[in-house]
Amino acid sequence: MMITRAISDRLVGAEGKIGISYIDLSEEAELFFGNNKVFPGSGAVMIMALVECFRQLERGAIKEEDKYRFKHAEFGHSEDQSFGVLRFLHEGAELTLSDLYNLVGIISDNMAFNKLVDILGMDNIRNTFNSLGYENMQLNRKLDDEEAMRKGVENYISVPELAAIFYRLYRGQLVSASASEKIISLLKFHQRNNMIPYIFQEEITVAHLTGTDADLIIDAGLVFTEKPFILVMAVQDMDIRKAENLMRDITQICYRDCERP
Amino acid sequence: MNYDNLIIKNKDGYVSYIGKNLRSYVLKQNLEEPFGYGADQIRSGDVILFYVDNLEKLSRKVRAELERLCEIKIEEIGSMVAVCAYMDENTNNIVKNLDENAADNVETVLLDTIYRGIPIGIKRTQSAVEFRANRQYVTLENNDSPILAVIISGTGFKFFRACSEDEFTGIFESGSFDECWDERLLRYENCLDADIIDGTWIEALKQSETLGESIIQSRNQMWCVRRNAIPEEWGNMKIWEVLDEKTLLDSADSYTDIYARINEEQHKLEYEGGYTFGLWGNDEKISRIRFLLRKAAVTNTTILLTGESGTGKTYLAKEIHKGSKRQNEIFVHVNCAAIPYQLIESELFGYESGAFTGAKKGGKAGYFQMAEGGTIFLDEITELPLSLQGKLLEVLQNRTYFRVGGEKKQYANVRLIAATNRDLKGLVREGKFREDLFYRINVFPIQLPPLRHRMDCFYSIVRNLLPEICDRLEVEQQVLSTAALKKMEEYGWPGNIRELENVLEKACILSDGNMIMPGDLEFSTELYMRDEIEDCDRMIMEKESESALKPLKAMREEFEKRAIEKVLASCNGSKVRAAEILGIGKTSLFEKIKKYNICDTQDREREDRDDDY
Repeated sequence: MMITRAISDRLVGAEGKIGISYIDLSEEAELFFGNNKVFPGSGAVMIMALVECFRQLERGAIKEEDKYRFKHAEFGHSEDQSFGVLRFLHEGAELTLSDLYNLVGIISDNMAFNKLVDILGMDNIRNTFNSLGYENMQLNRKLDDEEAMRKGVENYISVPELAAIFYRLYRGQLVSASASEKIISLLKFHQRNNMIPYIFQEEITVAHLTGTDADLIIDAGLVFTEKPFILVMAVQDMDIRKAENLMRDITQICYRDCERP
Repeated sequence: MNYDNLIIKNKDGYVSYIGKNLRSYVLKQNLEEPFGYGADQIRSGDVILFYVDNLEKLSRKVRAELERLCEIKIEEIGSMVAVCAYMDENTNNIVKNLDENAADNVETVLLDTIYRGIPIGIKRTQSAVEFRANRQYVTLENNDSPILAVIISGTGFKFFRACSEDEFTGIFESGSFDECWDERLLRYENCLDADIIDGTWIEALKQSETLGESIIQSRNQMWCVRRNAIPEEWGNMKIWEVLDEKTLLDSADSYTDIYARINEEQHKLEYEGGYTFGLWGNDEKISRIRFLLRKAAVTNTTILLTGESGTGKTYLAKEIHKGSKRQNEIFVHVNCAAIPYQLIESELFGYESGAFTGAKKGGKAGYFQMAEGGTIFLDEITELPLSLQGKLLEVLQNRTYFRVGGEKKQYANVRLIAATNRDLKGLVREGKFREDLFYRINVFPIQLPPLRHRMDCFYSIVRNLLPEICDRLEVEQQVLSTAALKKMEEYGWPGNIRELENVLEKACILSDGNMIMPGDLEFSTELYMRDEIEDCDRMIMEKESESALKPLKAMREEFEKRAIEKVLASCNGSKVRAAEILGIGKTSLFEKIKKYNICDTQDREREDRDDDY
């Protein structure tokens, strides 16, 4: 089965915007499929805060045990369901910095992400990503910021750039080898596993980050099979259940490609 | 001779013909290159592959059907392939218009991908199209058929055909399709029976070569495989005629052996059409149970099976499923006693992702979800914790439940069969089993008698079990000798059919030839002796009731004599085996035989044989 043919055939007739980046790490081969590269950020934008967080930790600007107290007023008044648990904790709950990045990496907690952005500084995050050369990864507002949303301010992720970020993480080249390793270790515990990890048995680990919105679904990650690979998939304007099934098939195609003799 | 009921091998031993009536039963189901399949239904979730060579030629009716299936407007000209998940809104369809520039004489890959987890490929050669799913493939000639269609279920191909327009639309109008066979494969390929024929049938063919005929059970039907004389003009071919049970009975003279044999196989007087339960015996009790099961199986009613451990409750539950409307759906066997207490809720009802520490990523389907559309058999239901009995009641009453950690109501379309070897009413009285649940599952209670009460049909039971055991062990089919049968009939069988299976399994392994001899049978000494102790208790009770108790020594001697006689009889006179079972030396046994004047009726030859053993 040729991977280019297999993915192209699977995408025939699929409606909506689709972007798929695949990197075969043993062959160092990179492929892109689909009709769109840049998508609204959703939860996938959280990778930016995580990278910046570990960068500042390395520099000593912040410490893992730094404590932060939360008040419900900080969470705004969004009527919509927001991912995460932080907003449901008691008034005045105190969390450490490591609690926050764990909440972000493991369950994509929106409010923990917002707090992390406050701590790290939105400008610092942007500057770091600009300096790393990722032009289309854009953090322009916090999550669930209704006022900014009304003004049309949006965050964006780029499918190939997300793949490149995971590539540098795998090679230990993002911030530092130690920071890259810590980010990967954290993302191995990510709990929304209905797309890339779905087809794998428990013994195959996947370090990944997801993002969903009403009409959008993103999964980006590193699959630690015998021959590891990176897969980033984003689908917009398609029935979410169809998109999930599509992503599972694409994951299986990539897995078979990597496992071929 | 009905040619549709023949199996023919050519002079080189290759299978060269299998009659139409036999193919769905005889041929292996998941052949890499299947010969074909019997008539079936198209079900939700089945994957359909199409190839249309000339869209221009399609009638309006077929075009409409295709557009409905593909959920897309189809081109007016050219050719196309499509992959659709039947009645599944959760997977997008693949509809691909083909490149007309591809030269006709070149092999062209039209589609090669993974769809709903199944690797799928469609390839066009000069005049045919090859469809591949997982490792299976079929090739359909293009000819003048407007559509080539393949249907795949979770277990592999189930239909393939170059369809006429009516055939194609008929599938989706009726929801079913006729049998499909590719006769060329049988005609032109040199196939060894082991490669294409189901194991049970291979054995039957072999057996009938030596015995003339063989009676087997395959997919819930009885068959007689008969080696036929070869018409001279057919040369060196080998021919078998296979008769189904009804044909055989209709044609047989009631005084011939075959009538007696098939009658015995079918539990005498039992053939009344419809599904016949594999319950052996013809005594009133068993006939009544069989009658009740036939009535209940076709409904969706809950059935409660009770009886001693090992009486065949699990087997019967499977039989009920096979005889029900859900026979083509899944049968899920859950032994409630085998699941750790803390896990039983999540195992039965499943859990959501993150429902608890250690929960599998993505959640897990429970047994009720796995059994959707089919039958769930809750064995040892009394082991279900009280706290969960309420949840089970909810499933039975409202057909709904929640997964552990789930908020969405799940709907259960399952038929429940429950079983226990305990006194349910007693447990209800003791407050260990919910009364409301008891009444809910006790709709159709059936009590299975222990094996020791079914000695009239003991031989039938053994004959039914032996082929299965031999298949499982992958040993040659075994036959039970009369002496071995006699020995078995004299045993108490406290472990019921389960114990019988174990004894037969061991005998099949120990047997040197094709016949199980008494020496091949080994009963559990401990169980055997328990039976003897019970005998002793019974003897004392009898004496008590007679108010004529003897001195202890006399009673002991009487018991000793009876025990030795019984063990000797069960060992078919082998004193070596009897001494082993009784746990005494051979000399001591001889002394006791002499002392109690126990008749030595043993066959000298058999004694010698057992001594060697």
